Amino acid sequence: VDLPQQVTERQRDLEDQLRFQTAVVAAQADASNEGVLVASSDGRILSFNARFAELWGISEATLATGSNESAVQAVVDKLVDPDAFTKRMAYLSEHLEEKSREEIALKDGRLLQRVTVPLRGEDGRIYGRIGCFRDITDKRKREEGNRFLALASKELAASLDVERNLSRVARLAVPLLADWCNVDLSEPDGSLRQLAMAHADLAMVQLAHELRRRHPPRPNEPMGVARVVRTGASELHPQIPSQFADGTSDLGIQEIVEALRLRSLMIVPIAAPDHTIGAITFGRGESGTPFSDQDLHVAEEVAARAAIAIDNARLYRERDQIARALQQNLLPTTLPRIPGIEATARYLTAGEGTDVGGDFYDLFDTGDGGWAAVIGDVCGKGAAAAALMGLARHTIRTAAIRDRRPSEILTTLNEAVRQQIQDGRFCTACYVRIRPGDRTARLTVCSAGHPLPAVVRKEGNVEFIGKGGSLVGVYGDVELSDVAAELGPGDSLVLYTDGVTDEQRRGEEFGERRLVEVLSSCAGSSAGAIAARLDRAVRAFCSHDPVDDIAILALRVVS
Amino acid sequence: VTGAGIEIRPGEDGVVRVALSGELDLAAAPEVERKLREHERDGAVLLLDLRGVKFMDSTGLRVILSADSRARRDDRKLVLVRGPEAVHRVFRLTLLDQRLEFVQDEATSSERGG
Repeated sequence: VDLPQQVTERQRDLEDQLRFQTAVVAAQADASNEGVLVASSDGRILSFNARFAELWGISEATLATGSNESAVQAVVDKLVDPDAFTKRMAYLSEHLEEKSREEIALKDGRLLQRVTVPLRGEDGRIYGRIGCFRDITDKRKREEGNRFLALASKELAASLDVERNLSRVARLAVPLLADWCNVDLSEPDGSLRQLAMAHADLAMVQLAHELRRRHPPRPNEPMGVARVVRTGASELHPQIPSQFADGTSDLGIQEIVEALRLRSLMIVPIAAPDHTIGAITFGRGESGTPFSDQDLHVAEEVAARAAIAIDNARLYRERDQIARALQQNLLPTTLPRIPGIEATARYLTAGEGTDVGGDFYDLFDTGDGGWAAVIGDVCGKGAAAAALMGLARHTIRTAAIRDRRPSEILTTLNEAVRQQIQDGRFCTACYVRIRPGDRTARLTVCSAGHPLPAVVRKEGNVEFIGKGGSLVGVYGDVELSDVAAELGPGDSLVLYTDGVTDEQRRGEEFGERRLVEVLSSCAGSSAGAIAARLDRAVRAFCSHDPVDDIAILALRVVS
Repeated sequence: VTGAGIEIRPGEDGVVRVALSGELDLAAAPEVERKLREHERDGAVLLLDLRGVKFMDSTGLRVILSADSRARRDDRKLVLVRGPEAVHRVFRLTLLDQRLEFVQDEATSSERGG
C-alpha cells in the first residue's frame, strides 16, 4: 500500500510525462511539413498546427475560436470547387468511421492533398477526426512535366516531318503545360514563320493566328520571340511585362495575351549547335499558376529535344539529297532515239523516309549498228549503293565498246565489282543487245541475277525472255547465258527492277502474275503508255508511294 | 513491314539451327546478320531455315551470301532449308540454288550435317 506522499509523487511523475508527451506531439506537429487539424465528432476544432494555418491562409486566431464553421467559411472562397468541398465535409461529418483521401484544387493554382482518419480511442469510441494536409502542387507539376516530356519526345521521334512533329508537341503542351502554345521557326531570310499553334478553344487559335499574321515579330524587338531567337536566351514572364503592353515589343504576342486572357508567358529557344532555329512560346491563363522556374526547365528541355529532332531531319534530308543528286547524275537524262523503236524510262522514287535505292538503267548506241538496253539493281541503299551503281553503269558502257556478247560484258562487270567493291555489296544486271531491222528487232538477253525482261507481243501474249544467271560481284566464276529473241512489229520489251514485283500490299506481293496481267492489257500501246500503266498499276496496288525505288525501261518496235 | 523473326537453337550435334520468319529485307537484315555472327561459330554446320520467310530482297540475300562466305573461310558449312517458292525463286534466278547447299527439310539436313 502506497503512502499518500508516494501517491502524490507518482502523480507528479505521470503529469510530467504527459506534459512531455504533449510537448513532443505539439513540436512534431509544428515541425511537420503537413498541416494537421483535429476536430471533435461534433465539429469543433480541437487542435491545429501552424503549417495548417499557413497552408490555408487562415489566421490562427480564427482557428483558435474552435469554430469549424468559421474555418470553413474562411477557406471556401479559395476553392476551385467550393460546392464539392462543402458536400464532402457534410458527408464526412455524418460518416465518422470513414477514412478519406482526396485532392483539393485552390484558385491560386495550388493543389492540396487531404488525408483524414477517424480519431478512435482504445475503447473503440470515435472522438472525432484528424486531417493531414499536404501541398502536392510541385509534385504534381513534376509528374505532369515529366509526362509531357516523355510524350513530346515520342512525337518528335515519330517521323522526319518536322512540322507534323512540332504541331503534335504544341497540342500536347495544351493543357499539360500551358493554355496556349505557339511554335515559330526562323526562315533563311531571318523572318519568323509560325509553324504550329494550339489552344483548347479552336476559335481562339484562329483569332491568335490572325493576330500573329497581322503583327509578326520584328527582328530588333527588345523582348519576345524575336529576341529569344536572336539571343538564344529564354524569357520567363510570370506576369506579362509592360514592354508588351506598350507595343514596343512583339505587338502580336500582346494582342494574343489580351484576346486569350493570358497572364503568364514563357518563350524558349529551339537551339541547334551553331544557331537558334526558332522558339516555342507558352502562355497560361487565369486558371493556372504563373509559370515557375520548374515550368521553364520543362519547356527548355522540350525545346532542346525539338532542336535535336529538327537537326536530325535536316541531316537526313541533306544526305538523302546528295545521294539522290548522285543517282540522278548516273541515270540518263534523255534517252537516245533509236530508228524504228520507241523507248521510255520511268523511275519511281520511294516515299519520304526511305534511303535512295540503287536501281539503274541505261540505253546507248554500241556503235556497230546495235544498241544496249541495261537495267540493274544494287544491293542496299544510300550513297554506297549509288557509288556501286555508278561503277556498274560506266563499266558496262566501257565493256560494250570491246565486247558484243552481253554475257562477256556482264562478266567484265563482275570482275570490276569484285575488285573495287569490298563491302560484300553486289548487284543484279540485265543487258539486252538490240539490233533493229525492218520493223523488227533482234535481241540478245543476258541476266545476271536480274528479273527476266518481258516481251509483250502485239496480240497480248507476254513472255519472259532469258535465263537466270549469277549475281554480279559475288563469285569469281560466273555462269551467264545469252538468249536470243526477236521482236516483231508492235511488240514491246519491258525491263524492270524487282521493286515492281516485290511491292506489297498487306504482305501480298504485286508479283509476276499481276505483272503479266497488266502487260497483257497493254498490247498495242506505245512504250510510254506501257511504262505509265505499269507505274500506275503498282502504285494503285500498294495504295501508297512505293517502299523501294522502281525502274522501268520499255521499248517498242513501231508497226 | 512486319519484320523478321529469328529463332536460334544451338544443337549438341554440331548443328546450329536458325529459323527465320517474316520479311528478310533492309529493315530486318542488320539484326539477322548480327545474330548469325553471334551464334554461327557454335557448330560446324549452320542450318538456316527459310521456310517461314515470306519475302526476301537483295539485302536479305546479302546476309545469306556473307554467312556462306564466312562459313567457307572458317571451314564450316552453311546449309539452307528451302523457303517458299517466292523466296526460292530469287535463288534460282541468281543460280545460287546451285551454288549454295539446299535441303527440303530439317530431317534431311540432320542426316547430312549431323
